[in-house]
Amino acid sequence: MKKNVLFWCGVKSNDSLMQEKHGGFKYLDIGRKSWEWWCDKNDVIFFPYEQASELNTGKHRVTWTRWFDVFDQLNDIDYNKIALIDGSTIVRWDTPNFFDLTDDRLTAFRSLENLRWLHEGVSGYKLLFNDFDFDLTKYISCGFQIFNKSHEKFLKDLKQFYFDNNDEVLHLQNNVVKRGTDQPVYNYLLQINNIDVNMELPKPFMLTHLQRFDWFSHNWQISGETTPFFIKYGYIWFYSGFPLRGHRYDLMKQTWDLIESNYK
Amino acid sequence: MNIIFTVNIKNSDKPQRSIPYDLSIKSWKNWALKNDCEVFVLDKWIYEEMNPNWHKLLVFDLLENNEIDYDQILIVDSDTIIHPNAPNIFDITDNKFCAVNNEGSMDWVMRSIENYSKYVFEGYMFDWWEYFNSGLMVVNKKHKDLFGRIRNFYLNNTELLKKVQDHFGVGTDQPIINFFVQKNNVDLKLLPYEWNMQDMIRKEILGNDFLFTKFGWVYHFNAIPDNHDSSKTLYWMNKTYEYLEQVE
Repeated sequence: MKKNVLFWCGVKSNDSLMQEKHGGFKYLDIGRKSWEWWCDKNDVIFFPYEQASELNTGKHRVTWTRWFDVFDQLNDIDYNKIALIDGSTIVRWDTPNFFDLTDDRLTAFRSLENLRWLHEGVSGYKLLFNDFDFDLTKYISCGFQIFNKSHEKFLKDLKQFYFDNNDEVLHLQNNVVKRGTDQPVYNYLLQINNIDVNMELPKPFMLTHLQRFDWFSHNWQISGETTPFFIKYGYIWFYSGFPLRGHRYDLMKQTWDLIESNYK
Repeated sequence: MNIIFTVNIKNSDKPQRSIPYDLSIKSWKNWALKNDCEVFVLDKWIYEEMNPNWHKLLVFDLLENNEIDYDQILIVDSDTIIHPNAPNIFDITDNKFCAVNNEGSMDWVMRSIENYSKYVFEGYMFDWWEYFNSGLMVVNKKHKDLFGRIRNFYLNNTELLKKVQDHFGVGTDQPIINFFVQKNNVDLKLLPYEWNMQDMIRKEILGNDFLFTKFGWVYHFNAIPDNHDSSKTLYWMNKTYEYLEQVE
């Protein structure tokens, strides 16, 4: 039986601005350990995405190129489904095998964290898509998705769109909208192409904006109960939504120090 | 006939709190006219010792005692305003118990679940991602027995519940309704956030540009920081109501 693949996005961009913004990408090494361990435990192929096809990662962000490269880089592997995940994540040691909980649809999570950011992203790209009537209830996060070979065409179309409209996309992304990179465009094309999305995977598989939603807290009203809520109730922790990316390493390191012994 | 039920009992301990609620009722009455349903407002105490929030559990008895026939009942908190052009929520219920996930502080939600589990429900736990906000629920005759059981539970355990409520401060009716729905395997349909937009400041959408009114249908003015006298609730409900009047 074919195995499933975890396509772990861990490109350490050489671009000096990206290096500075991400604190040298030290945090990637922490999340990687958890995923390697989890893949081994669940008989899943761990595939680190560390080299983008576009060498200028300052211009062509890794958040874009991951979609363009995923099928090419897995070309020599015989696999069933692919889970593509941000490198700024840690998976809990006992996380169930999420591949078993999905079907053949593209699986993703609805994004409901910062609604102003989300709304501004969608409205900012509206003209690029001829005023397409976007359904906000279907807006998904790009940080974690599960798909299969049937979605290759969609990602090829995404790549085509990106390069056909590169000047305009990058102008909007960097100078006008400034609300993320691939996510708004990805979402538009998903809806325009009527891609059937499964959003039924339970929330613990994508715990994000941990600070915004007070996930770092613990039940201080029950004596002796000190385990943070995110560790108790989440499976995959996304260290995103912080004002400064530098905080990411500190928080991931603190988490790892607390839980490392479970990965042995 | 579908019914919208809301509680608007003046609480003498918090007189300021109920001032904006008349705006909520006006918005729901306006929407009801367009959607062929009726609004039922409970404005009198039934049980003096019972917090107004708990009175929503009496909805079935009140409707039947008033000889009001009903199909589905939408129970809403009085700090909500509905967009006048919102579609008909009763059309999307599949005749199930409907509510919206509680969005906001997970510290508050998880303490609520854990503390009520430990001190009231003998350690029973359920999937936290099914925990809903009781500020908007759609029920029907199938749920009459459930509400009766919750009411009786409250009446038989009033002291305990008040103690837990006062000591931990993590909700009144909401955790109990959630536990009962889960323990009784009620077929729960979670509606999208657009139908009960809570904690809008945390989600960065509550502002003078009224962006939130473009995002969804029911605006729940809860969890506003530094709002002990409810003046900010009044401010936002007033502004929103005025704004939506113009939109209409």
